[in-house]
Amino acid sequence: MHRRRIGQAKRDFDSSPSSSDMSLQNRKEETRTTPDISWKAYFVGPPEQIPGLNTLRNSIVDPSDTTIAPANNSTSTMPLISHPHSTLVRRNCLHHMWENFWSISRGSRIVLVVSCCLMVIEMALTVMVLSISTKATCDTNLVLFLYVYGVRVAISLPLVVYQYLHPIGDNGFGSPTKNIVVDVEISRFVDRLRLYLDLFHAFWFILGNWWVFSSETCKVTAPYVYKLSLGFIIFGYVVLSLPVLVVAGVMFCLPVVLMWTNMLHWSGLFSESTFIWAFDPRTDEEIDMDGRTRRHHGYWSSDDMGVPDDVIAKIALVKFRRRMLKDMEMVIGEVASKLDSPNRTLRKESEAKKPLLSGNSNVSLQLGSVGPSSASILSSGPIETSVTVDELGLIGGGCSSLDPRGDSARYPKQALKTRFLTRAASQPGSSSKLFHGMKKDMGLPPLPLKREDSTLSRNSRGISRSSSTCSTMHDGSSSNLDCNFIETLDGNVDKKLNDDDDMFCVICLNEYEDGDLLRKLPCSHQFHIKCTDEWLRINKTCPLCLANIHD
Amino acid sequence: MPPKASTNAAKRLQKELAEISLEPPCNCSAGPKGDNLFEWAATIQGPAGSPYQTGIFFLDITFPPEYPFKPPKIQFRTRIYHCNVNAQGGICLDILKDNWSPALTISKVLLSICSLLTDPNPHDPLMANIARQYLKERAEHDETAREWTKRYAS
Repeated sequence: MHRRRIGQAKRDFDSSPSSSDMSLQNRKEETRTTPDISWKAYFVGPPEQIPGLNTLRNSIVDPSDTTIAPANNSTSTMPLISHPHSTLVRRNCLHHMWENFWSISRGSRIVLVVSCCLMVIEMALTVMVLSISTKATCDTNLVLFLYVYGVRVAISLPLVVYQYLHPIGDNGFGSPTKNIVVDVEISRFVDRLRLYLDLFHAFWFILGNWWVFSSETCKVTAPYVYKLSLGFIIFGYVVLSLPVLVVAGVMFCLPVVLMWTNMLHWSGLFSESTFIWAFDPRTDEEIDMDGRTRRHHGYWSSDDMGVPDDVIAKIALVKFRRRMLKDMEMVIGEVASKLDSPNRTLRKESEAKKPLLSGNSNVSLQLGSVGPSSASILSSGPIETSVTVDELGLIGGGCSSLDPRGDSARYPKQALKTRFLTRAASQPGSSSKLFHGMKKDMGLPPLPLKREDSTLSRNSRGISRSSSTCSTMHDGSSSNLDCNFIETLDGNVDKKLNDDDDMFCVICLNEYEDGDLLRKLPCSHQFHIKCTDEWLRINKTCPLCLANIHD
Repeated sequence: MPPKASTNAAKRLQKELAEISLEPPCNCSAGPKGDNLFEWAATIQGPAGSPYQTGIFFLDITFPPEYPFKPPKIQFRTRIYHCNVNAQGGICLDILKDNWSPALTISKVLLSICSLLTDPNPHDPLMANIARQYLKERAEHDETAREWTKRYAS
């Protein structure tokens, strides 16, 4: 990426009118690994031409890289390049660093700024003290200590800046080109240099300790030198003890700080302005991820915490109700056996009813739910054809009164319908029982009707979604629902269930059984009580709509 | 690990396995690596129209014993040039972190990862460099992504 920047700078001055013939060679140069002498001939001169740039560039360009070398030469030995060009290169570098400065994490940025400030202050103090006490004498080498200290700080300042602001770390990512290798080499070199400097600093610090505390006359003969040295030594001890202070602080203050952040809803405090993770700029990616992981797992965040048990206990409980078909199956089976009896005319009539029956699953259910009355009729003795037909007519009529799709047009005998209607009208007690319905996924008993099974399933599915199937009969009591429903604990109907989704708990994926206790969240989604409670203990949102249950 | 939690998790995983085997989401497949129901492997075919188009990406899925109350851990095993996937294969996806919901199933999660491949989220990146490139130099980004797909995922 550095190379691209420098290449960019080269292209920038290529485009200037004075060097148009140069640009071609220049481009060639970019692709060549050996420096072009004719090209280099343009640039002969002292590197001091561009003050300030050299240190900056040297800190980011590895002289060992041959592809960069010409560029390096071109910028460091360029009498032909006038000020606008050098300004351009410099601006480019600065712009680049500025960009990187904003791309690193906030923690790194703070550490970088603080350490740079400290270093600059240290250097300024050293220079100032040394300049005002040039003639001061001392029994130990405190002046030498300050000199070397200042030089060390001056060297490590650009290294620190580079370490934080170099664009590609050696994390193995970035575009898979040669530049990475170069960058990694530079950054390794800088790392090593920094390590040696730090080791030297440790050694010098100990030596400084010895000199400062063993001096007897310095305090009087060279008071400023002595005080500054003492200041640096104390500063060194503070830096050394910083981790201990942090650990102690965390141990003693963490509960208080946590409560405080919870109160203020500062969920990002520990992940953003982190002081421990941010020390190594090259692990920014991990830091980001860790920070995010921490933040997202919500250990610090009050938003993600679960709901207290007492609040969970106050959430409404409801009961899932489903109609069981055991007795209905029996009835339907009996009706079917009657229909299959040797009476061929009856058989014919039942054939005629097939479309009617298969057209709507409710039909069969209603047949079942005709209930004990019809069952007793059917089983009590010899059945007259008219009775059966009557029952079928009753079914057809029931269906037509429910079905919004105009299936009644398919009924073969309007007469049957009218007979049903009169009969239903004359038996209001039994009509309430007609509409105990079931959906197809409740396991309908196989009807003795082989034809149009697919129609049956398709239609029944369509019906299960149409609202008309879930209608409440006159008195609104739970026994009058023709679909699954939710019942409050005191036995009132709370909600009818239409969607397939409502039939199972999305948390455990188990289908609801009749009588299962569910928790109904304020957003009116309900789940198994156990599943809901376990989820709410760690998170206070609805699993389906993510609504906060406090809202 | 509480044995009860893991039994419930195992039951749910059985159901999910049945579901994903019966109706596999498009471009994705998943299943247990061996006998352990909590360790799955998955593949995602690079979605058409994205620079990952020709690639087949392998993922490891680890279900915690608290599943589905805690999100599964998903990692890319195949290297991918994507601003929301880091060098270790970690994925930055909100539903795998703070927006996890027990109503999500592994097939829905895999579909989300598929759509993340189609539409990276450079505003919440794991790889800042790639995100920046995605925003500023889209063509170069896509070229590199294609190159990586060809190199690692084909």
